[in-house]
Amino acid sequence: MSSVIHPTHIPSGRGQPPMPPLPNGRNSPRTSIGNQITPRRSPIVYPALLSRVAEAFRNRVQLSDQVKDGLTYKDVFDGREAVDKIAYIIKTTDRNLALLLGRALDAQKFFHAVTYDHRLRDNANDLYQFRTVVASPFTSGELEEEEGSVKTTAAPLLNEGSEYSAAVLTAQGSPTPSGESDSGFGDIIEGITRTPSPSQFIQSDARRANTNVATDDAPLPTGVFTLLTDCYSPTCSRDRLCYSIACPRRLEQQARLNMKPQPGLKKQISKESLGELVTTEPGTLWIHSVPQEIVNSVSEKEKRRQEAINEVIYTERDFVRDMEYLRDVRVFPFLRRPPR
Amino acid sequence: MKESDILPVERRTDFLEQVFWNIHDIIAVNTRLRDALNKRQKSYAVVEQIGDILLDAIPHFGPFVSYGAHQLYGKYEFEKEKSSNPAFSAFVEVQKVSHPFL
Repeated sequence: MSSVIHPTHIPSGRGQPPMPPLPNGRNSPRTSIGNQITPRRSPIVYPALLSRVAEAFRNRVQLSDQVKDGLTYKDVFDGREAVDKIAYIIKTTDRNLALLLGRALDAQKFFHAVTYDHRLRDNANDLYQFRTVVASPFTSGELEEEEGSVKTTAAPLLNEGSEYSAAVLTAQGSPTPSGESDSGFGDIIEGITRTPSPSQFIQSDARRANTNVATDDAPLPTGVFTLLTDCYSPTCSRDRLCYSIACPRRLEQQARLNMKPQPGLKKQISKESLGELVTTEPGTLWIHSVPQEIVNSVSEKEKRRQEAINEVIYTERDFVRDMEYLRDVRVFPFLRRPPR
Repeated sequence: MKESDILPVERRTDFLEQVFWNIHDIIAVNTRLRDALNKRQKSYAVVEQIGDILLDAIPHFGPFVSYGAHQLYGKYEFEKEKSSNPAFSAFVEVQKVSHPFL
């Protein structure tokens, strides 16, 4: 499925292989959603809010110790499982959509590949771990306990010079504290990887250690995944086709309503709104329905008589329309017969 | 909430008949009357009369008598269901908000 994703150049950290392309959130997935997206139940959380999805994801994903390339990684999960979980959370069968959402999460460093060299992939052989707040750039979170590393902050350069330190510096690419807290909507899709210079790194981390902010839980990603936002139209819901041809829900709605996707728009008379309109709107007046010469040619008394006759007729029209509406909305649904 | 979850299948048809009674007959009668009136209105800019149409239609108004006679039974069934079936009661409350004019 990754072939659908259009490449977008992402500046990568130094020394890293280029990251897999981050999909352009707005355009590219549209085609891939197609007919395969057939969620049947409501999502567990509002899928457009990255923080909600991230939280649900963290609560559900199973962490375990796994071996890759001869190394054992602690508390990791694999890419296939991640996509499974996200698809479950947002109730989609479209794995590509779930993958896109997962990449929006990893773009904010919610989790990262244990090898730090690629984005989320729908593959059981790729391992990922959640970000933990690492106090020292020279201490890898995957090797040492969080609390332990905080204490070493004061003398980061003396810290054993483990073979991982270089990797941490370049690949962890952990944003500065301000970058973390400020990560706004713009960062979600662009996935900006800031790689501060070592001196900045040490400074900022020392500052953080001094203010004692080290915590186990890195802040959740924030932002809106626009592809999964609700439609702005209040009449657009899971079970009612949106009037807008550009509505991102439309394909999903068509799939659920067993409609064939049709190119272009087709006019649909809305029975319900007609009924509502007519019950509150007075019928048009007779004098407005006939040419002015005819109005002028009849007496005042005849005009009143014509208005009375007109009222009888449009009231009868309204009555029939109301009864049909009652039948279609109140009786047929219970009999499981479509109102049309 | 789905309609299929609100009323048990075995009582559904009977319940609908008790509440809505002969609504289909009423719709049929009035559809004929409406069509006749529409036709008259379209044919004449100044309508001479509609009394003849009404005279033709009224002998077929039997369904209204039947509906009126049964109305209280229908209301009774409706209220009974509301008090004994929480799902139905909740459904009615929701519908009051979304379709206040019904």
